[in-house]
Amino acid sequence: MSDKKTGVYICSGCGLGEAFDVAALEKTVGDEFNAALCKSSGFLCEEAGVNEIKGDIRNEGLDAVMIAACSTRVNYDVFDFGEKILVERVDLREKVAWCQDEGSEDTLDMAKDYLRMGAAKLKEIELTVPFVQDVSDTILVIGGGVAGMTSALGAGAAGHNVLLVEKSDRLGGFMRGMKKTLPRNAPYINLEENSIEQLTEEVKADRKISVHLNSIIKSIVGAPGMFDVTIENGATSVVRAGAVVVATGFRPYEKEKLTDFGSDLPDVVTSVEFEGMAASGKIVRPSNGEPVGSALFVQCAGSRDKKHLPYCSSICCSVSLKQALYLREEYPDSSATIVYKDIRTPGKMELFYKQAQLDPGIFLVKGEIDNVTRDGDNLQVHVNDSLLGPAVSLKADLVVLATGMVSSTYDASVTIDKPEDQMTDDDRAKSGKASILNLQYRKGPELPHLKEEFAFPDSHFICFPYETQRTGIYAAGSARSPQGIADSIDDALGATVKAIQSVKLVGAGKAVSPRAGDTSYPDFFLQRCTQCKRCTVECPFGTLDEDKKGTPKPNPTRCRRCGICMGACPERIISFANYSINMISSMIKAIEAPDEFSGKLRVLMFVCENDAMPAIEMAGLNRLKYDAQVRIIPLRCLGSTNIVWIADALAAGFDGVIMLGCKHGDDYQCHFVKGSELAETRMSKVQETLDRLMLESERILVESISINEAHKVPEIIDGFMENLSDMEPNPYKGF
Amino acid sequence: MSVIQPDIGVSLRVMEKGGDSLQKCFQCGNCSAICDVTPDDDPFPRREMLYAQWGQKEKLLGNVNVWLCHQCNDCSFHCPGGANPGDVMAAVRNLSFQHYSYLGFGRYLSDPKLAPLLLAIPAVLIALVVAVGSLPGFMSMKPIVFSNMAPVMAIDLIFIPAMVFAVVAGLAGIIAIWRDFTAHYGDERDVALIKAVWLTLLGVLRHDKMKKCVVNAPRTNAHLLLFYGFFALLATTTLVALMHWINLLGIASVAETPLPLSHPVKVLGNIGAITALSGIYIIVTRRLTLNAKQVGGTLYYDSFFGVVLFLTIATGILAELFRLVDYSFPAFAIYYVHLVFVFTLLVYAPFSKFAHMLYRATALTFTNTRKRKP
Repeated sequence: MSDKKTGVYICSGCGLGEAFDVAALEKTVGDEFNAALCKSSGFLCEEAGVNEIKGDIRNEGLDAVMIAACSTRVNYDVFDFGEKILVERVDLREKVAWCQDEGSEDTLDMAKDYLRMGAAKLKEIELTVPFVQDVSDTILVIGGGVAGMTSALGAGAAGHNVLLVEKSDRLGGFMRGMKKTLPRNAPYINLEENSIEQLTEEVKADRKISVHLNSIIKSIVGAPGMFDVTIENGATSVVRAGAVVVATGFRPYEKEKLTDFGSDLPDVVTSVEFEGMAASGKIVRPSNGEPVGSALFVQCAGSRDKKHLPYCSSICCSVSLKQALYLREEYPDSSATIVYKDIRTPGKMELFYKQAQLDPGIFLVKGEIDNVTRDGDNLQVHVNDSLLGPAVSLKADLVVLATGMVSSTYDASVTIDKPEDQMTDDDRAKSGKASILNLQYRKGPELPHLKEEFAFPDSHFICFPYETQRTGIYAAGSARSPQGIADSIDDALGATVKAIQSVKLVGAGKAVSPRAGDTSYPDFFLQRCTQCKRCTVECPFGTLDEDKKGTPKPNPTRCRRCGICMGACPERIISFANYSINMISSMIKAIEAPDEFSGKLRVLMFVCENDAMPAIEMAGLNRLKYDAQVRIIPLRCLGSTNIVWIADALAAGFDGVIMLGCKHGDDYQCHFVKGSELAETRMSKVQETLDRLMLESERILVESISINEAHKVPEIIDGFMENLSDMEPNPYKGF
Repeated sequence: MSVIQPDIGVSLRVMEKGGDSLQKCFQCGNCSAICDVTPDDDPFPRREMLYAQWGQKEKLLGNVNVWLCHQCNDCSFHCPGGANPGDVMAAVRNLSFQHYSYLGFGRYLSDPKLAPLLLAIPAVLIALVVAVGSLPGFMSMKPIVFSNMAPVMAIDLIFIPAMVFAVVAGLAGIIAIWRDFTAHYGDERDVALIKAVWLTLLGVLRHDKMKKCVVNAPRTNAHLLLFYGFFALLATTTLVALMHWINLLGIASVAETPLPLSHPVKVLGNIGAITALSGIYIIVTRRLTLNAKQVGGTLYYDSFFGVVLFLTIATGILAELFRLVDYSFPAFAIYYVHLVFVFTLLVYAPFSKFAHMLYRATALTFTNTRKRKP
């Protein structure tokens, strides 16, 4: 608190006063901190309490306040004293009073340490100055189908100029070829007339939208707010856009690969071909032009199948029911059989399914297709494990294969002809990606896919729908995940809102989700950079480009402010105004480690503030008690852990370190995609080093936890303490 | 590999016979899981629902499960799709009656348009008996003796051949369905037939299966009342006829109708009638006041059987009451109606819903010959 004039306020409400002696804390502040003033209150968040702080700021000229009260997740609006005042919230409620024994000495020690940590932090941080640039608020929408057009109309209605780029010669995309569409209105039981023409007219009439037909994106240079987009349609033109919505749709899975389902027989068609037939007027057997007396729909033809697409496309069951109704309408005596693995009609489509099911001419049965063969004039479909019997055969005039959806961002033909161990990151980034964005980014031209076998450019679908792993670029519709028209419309609007938020936030120098509104950004002390490229490689968002030598080129508007680069940097040259290596190191050093004769262990916990920290606070809310010897430091992301902190902690006499992050892996919950995973990789290396130093590697525990797993917090902490108690105290204690 | 062709005709008939919710089934199997009478190794009614949807007639006929179902409606009550499997099973049973009934007479009993004709046949026959056999001036004779109007001899001349026809028809139905059961499940028996019959009899007398019903549990006691009441009445009628023939053939001299109220046979008859009527009262009020999910849908062929049974017993009681208070005309008129309904009930039994007794007992016996335990 050296150069800052700081006021310290300790609250004794909500049981804090009973948990520890507030006067003793005030004494610690008085003895140890160079604070301008220290006050306590029985009800700090009450108007009188807040007004007192405001008064002190005004009268005493404070430029920082430390609120030792409740979690930062509550009352953040109450304890906001404007941009000029640094506020440090020391959580003595959820993290001390509510999870520790009332009145014990350990509880008081814990509270004192948190005050010391807060003071150390305040000493190291500065007010942030937003990185503000002149940005464009134009939204670039790629793809002129239902999702793209909906997005364009939405952005236009919100007052943004829109560039709508469509590679074919007309708007409408896949939807244009449909005879009817699935119900989108209550009671969700009737097929609806195709409304694509109306949508197209609206787009054409909207002055905010400039439509580029027969156009592709040649390249995108820059960063959110400042994308320079080269559009090519014979000639090339460069336009500036602030954010991008990718709504390039899907391709049906290749029929040629489905010979197991008889795709080489003339009367076996895909649902896309069947739709075309229905839309053009007459449903007939392709082999002889005769009417169709019986059609058999094969669900999951090449879907949920390890040999083909491993996933469900979510819409095919509804589509087959729709097409079965086409057939029944055209030929009232016909039968439509649907063989399914499971009928999956999500959401309101369940109502449509229930309606279609009532048609006695629609026969549904669960089963696995064995093969489809020709039997004279008919087709014979052999079904195994069906509810009708272990092996049955069904006859049909026409077989319709309900093929799944492949994202248009995926292109299997783009392969890198190198052995896996010789592939560069660049090679991996390009492999399997269709040419859509052509970003001039260090980490590749296209959007990363979620996982290899589910090649969609999604981010975490529950927490961050529409967000891709490239800031300012949002995916919508069937390009993002398999879906039908209704979902594509929702998706398009969601992605558009995200794109608009992006240009607004970027324009104000603020981060987008999940740290929306954060005005800090990473600062690189490049004189000391060794061009090791670890920051550029490890950034999950492709934020950093490189010059020829490999020096990182920061692009603050692409940055999500997670600090993964800060954790990666071996030279420790990356920092934020309010989050830095020194700040955490100082906090670690501010904690009093008991000496080896006290019999007490001391454990440091680095906790990701996204999911793990709320879980710990909820443990407090539920009054779950855990060991009093832990000291918790919240991190923006576990990926921002720099290994120097581990060294600091061990040197400062801590007996162990717990790192608690979000779940990683295929269904990750990490808010920064790979942060907790990276932390785990880094720590496994630290643990090797510890073994070499004859220090038990079990002194470091890396754990992941979900936001709803508060009950696991005591298990993790107390279990770790128990393991530690079997070891000698940290031999570096006291050095 | 069996080739399966869906048959809309059959599924439409099931829907028409009370299984109209059939198409709502999506094969979740809750019904089979909830059913307490279903065998563990061949659970119903989930699969039967699919066969019905697909119109797989040959899988539904000769399907013993269709008859093991006692229509508790536990399945319908718990069905998440509203497919009412209990009603669908009942509809399938109805199609099954029609199929197995001798000469296909069953379909006439399921067609409301034919009801007047079906009642006209006994009405004319009994009228003939009265016209030919009644004593002149029977109406004014005191005390009222019903055989003065319809002599036992004349009635038996019609009744005995008609009952022989009914028994033959019933047996024919039993043999036909037994043959189909065997065709479906093979003919290796684990238990002797006689033992299986005995087990069935015990089970029926105790209503073992029906006692497992949960949703429609009160029906079990009602059915027990009706069951024992009916058999008491049947015994009464048979004993009266026997007593008549014993006297007629001079084997011995026993009491003749009208029996005094204190006569054991009369006591049996009166208690039987009251018991049966209370059973009917419970069943009918439940069907009228509770929803179909709990008690099952009520269709024409259910009502036909129920109404005939009720009127048979009610007219019997009324005729007795008018006889006791000595009102000749209503007593004789109602007795005539009573005879018509007795004929309708018994002679049409193998073709009406009454035959559930025959087919279900056959199915239970068939199952009892196997190790497979229902």
